[in-house]
Amino acid sequence: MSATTVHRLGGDIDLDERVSWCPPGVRASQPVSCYLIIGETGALLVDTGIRAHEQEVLAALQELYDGGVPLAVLLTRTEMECCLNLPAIESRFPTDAVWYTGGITVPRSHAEVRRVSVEPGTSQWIEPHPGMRIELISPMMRLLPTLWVHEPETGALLTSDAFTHGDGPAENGLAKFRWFTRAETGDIAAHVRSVVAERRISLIGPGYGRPFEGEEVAEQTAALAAAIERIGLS
Amino acid sequence: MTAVFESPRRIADGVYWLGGCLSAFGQGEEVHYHVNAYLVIGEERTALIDTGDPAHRAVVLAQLDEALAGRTLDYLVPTHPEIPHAGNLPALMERFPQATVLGEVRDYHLHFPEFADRLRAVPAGQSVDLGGRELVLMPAHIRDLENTTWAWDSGAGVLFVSDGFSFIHDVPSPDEEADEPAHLPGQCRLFSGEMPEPPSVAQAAYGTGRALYWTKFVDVSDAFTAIEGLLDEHPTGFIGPAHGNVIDDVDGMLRTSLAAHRAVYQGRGLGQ
Repeated sequence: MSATTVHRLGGDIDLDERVSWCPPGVRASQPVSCYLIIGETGALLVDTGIRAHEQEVLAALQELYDGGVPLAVLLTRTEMECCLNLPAIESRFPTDAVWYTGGITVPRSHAEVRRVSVEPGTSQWIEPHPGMRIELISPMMRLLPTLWVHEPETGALLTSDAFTHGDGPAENGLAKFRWFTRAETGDIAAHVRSVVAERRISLIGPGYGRPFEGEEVAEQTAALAAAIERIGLS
Repeated sequence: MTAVFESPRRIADGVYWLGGCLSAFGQGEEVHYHVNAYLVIGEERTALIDTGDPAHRAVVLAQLDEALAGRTLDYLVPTHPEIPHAGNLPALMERFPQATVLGEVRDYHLHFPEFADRLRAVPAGQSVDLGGRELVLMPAHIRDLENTTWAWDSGAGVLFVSDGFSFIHDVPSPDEEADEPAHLPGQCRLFSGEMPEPPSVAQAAYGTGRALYWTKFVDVSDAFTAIEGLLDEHPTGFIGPAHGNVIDDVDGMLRTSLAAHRAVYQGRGLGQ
């Protein structure tokens, strides 16, 4: 029985033409999420939610996190929907460290800022708290430097800006990746498949769009990989 | 990581180069990484393209005061919602309470809900009258985020290209990964033609491969055809990248940048 738990925080947005990742013609409500992993020795907040949901994120953290173990933050990307609530969170909840990937533009934080560099298509393990092992996967499916977060005890795979299509067709999650239409995407699709096939994944938690659990994991992985191949040149 | 303060540099009549540099170390020597913003001053209105990095907030505000010389800022045109391009938006909107954010404004209501009523979408191809000159919003032919815009100033013929046309003047060692281009200190406010050596294909390829991951997978020849068409229709004497020195040899840098993209695409190893 795992003592580690994973919780989803955030709120819903109107997915419409004002949102850059909205597919043409779609009008819907969409969850935008960050995730809190709570282990025996510490808690890890994966992304911080969008600023429009600042109060919701702070309230959920207050409810879930009792301060009994140290808190660290991991940013899957240094894009705004991942990091803009960092100051508000730090001001309410003492934070040990902020992990991130990317270039030399670093998150502005009072905590220790720890950069992780993972070559696309590979992964790296970190231990944000003693005994808490987290695998950081650098997906080939990316625009900017990105990490997918694998928590092995629960089987959670947190996929940032991938697997965002929810109940729609998998193509709906590729609006951000228009460059796929001009690229040979076979290797990218294969990497999506292998990430899930090579691990015991029980939950896929995207940064926006609803999570997938149980049998949906394999189904939606297959659907996403097929869509990546379909829109590409390969 | 250090910020370097310098006064804004006048590029042409009514156009100023603002922002600063961030420092890193590569191959044992310090290199700098540009985070630029550009101010365009019309007879009636003013516009700031990009906001600079939050690490340079005080620098940018001071540079703006100097360049505006008592005028106010009317328009803020972030090229896309990444921290180095739009991170100072809240400070600027508070400093200039009449200012409007315009251009490609998707997502900003999620990031800055307190300013949602001060966003004005202006699609590519439309222009904003600054008085005596126009700022024309352009499609971003080289970009990362989809909600990226380029812009062209009709008054002085300056094309603002966001993450496009970036290049480095020094290549960090492999263990000093950088997803942004860099240049040597002391060259922060030089035009490309004033640099000791013009940017090489390898230097541009490094910046391209690092900052724009997708270019390893995509042949960008069609994008450069579109850029050449854009330049034919919009006479351009200067190109203002967000990450790199201002380019005053437009034809030369166009060739260098295209060659760099081709090298990254064909080699796929360059810049990794």
